[in-house]
Amino acid sequence: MKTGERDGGDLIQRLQAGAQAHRRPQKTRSCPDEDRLRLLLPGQLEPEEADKLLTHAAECDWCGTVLREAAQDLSEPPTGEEEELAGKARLADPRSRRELVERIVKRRRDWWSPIFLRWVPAAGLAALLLAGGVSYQAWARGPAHTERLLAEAYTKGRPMGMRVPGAEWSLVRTQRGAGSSSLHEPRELADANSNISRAIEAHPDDPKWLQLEGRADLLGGKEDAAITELERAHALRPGDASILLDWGTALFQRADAQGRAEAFERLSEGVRLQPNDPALLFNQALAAQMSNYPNEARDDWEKYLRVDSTSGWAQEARQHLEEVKKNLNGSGPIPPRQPRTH
Amino acid sequence: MSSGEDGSEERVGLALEVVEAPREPPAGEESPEELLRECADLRQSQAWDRFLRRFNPLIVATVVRTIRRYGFDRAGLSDDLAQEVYLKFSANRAKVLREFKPRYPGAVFGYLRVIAANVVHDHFKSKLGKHTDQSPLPNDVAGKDETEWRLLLRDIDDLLKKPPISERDRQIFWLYYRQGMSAKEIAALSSLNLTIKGVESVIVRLNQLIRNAFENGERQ
Repeated sequence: MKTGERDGGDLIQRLQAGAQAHRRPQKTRSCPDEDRLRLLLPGQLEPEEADKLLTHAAECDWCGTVLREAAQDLSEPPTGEEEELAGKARLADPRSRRELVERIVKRRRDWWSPIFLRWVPAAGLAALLLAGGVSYQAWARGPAHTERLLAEAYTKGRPMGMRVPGAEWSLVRTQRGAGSSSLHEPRELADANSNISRAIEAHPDDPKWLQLEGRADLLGGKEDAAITELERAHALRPGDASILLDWGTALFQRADAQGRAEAFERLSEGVRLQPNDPALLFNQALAAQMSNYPNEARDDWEKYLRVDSTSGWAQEARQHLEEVKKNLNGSGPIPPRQPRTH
Repeated sequence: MSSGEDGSEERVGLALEVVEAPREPPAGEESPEELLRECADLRQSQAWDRFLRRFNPLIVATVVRTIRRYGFDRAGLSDDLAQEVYLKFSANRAKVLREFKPRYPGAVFGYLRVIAANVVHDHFKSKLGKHTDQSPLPNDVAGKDETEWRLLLRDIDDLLKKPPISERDRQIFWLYYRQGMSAKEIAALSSLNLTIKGVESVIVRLNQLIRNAFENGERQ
């Protein structure tokens, strides 16, 4: 290309000068895996994924930099000096090469030989066990079981007044803060976290796993991380009421005034989508009560009790309702009724 | 090569031009793709030996170059990481080799180089921690210049999103003008399937189109 074509024209000059001065290479949670990004070079990605990554890299200064550096490094053949270094490398020596090949082949043999020695005689049984094992593993690592684990972890040491989906009622036990020790973490939470890490690594943009990651962080007292993850899950699946439930809960748990007002909004959005979801109704009522919206709180607790009148949660809801009514009828000024956002 | 309607030239086999210039295997020697396929079976120790002999100079050179990105230049480290690369190739019953798709002649060279570079990047990422991912922002609050630049970006992007401009051309424009990639570097992205001339042609055409639009006040 002629230099004039790149530099000619004030507009394009301003564009380039601005890029030099104001590009902000900063990695964000929406950035793709850098190893995948580099696979754009040898064209190993399916067209749909390649297109998605290119669109991102064109607009993201972090990924654009990763791609530019990779193209610089990999589009030029090795220099004479690099070839010389390769000629002196350890693996240029035939003995070292043989040792490495032996190691690679042995690794495979180590994996394979016990099957022949011990398992082949019972091949049918092994196949059955394997099939069972694979199914068990798939189930144990799946999102439904992980959700169950999180619910059990919550019930075991209920860390907050707000509910998480699927959890049985129990007494609020401890107040966990950010950075609380993982030594006191329920085993179920550790198991869930391990499933989540594995799944997120394989599917970083899966909204269900992002939601579970957010919920696990919430139970671990890491509200800021939870909010980021749940915001992203919501952006990927905006019509999911259960994500709004977790997001609203995380905002509430951050426990600042702005967070509580926003929490109430998110939970109300969730209730609009799932008007009879007990956990959403419960958390919405609690958010209203704690945000000092007493009229809203009264209405919401009454609504909750129409949906659930018998569980341990219902008993707790009745106590909250009594408290709200006492405040409305009793001492102190009654705050004005807050308009609903919907 | 064939000329596209937009003046770009479609490319067949990027590796032949940019990433690597693979030599023709001598008569009787298998192609690199065939060798890769053989090595996907980890029992083939002879194939692995040939693989190492054939690709080691390329792998080590890639490892050395990538290490230098991090300011390191130590022979022992490049030896260790080159070995890591081969273990990566053979891991999970040679998953990396089994996943390779020979989309064009010579693609294998670029593929092996990317995997080697990834091993080095992963090594430094785990060594230096997540902090390497975070370069500090020069200034969190955008100044007047930056705001104007961002408005300009938006105006231009609005134009580029209008038909008949394709998404591919829009990507190329921003890779060039925002990310600072050269036409050669963009052409090295095999996924775009363009030659250097093809990339330049896209840039010249969009450059002209944008200037005309701004001069005529067409932008919104």
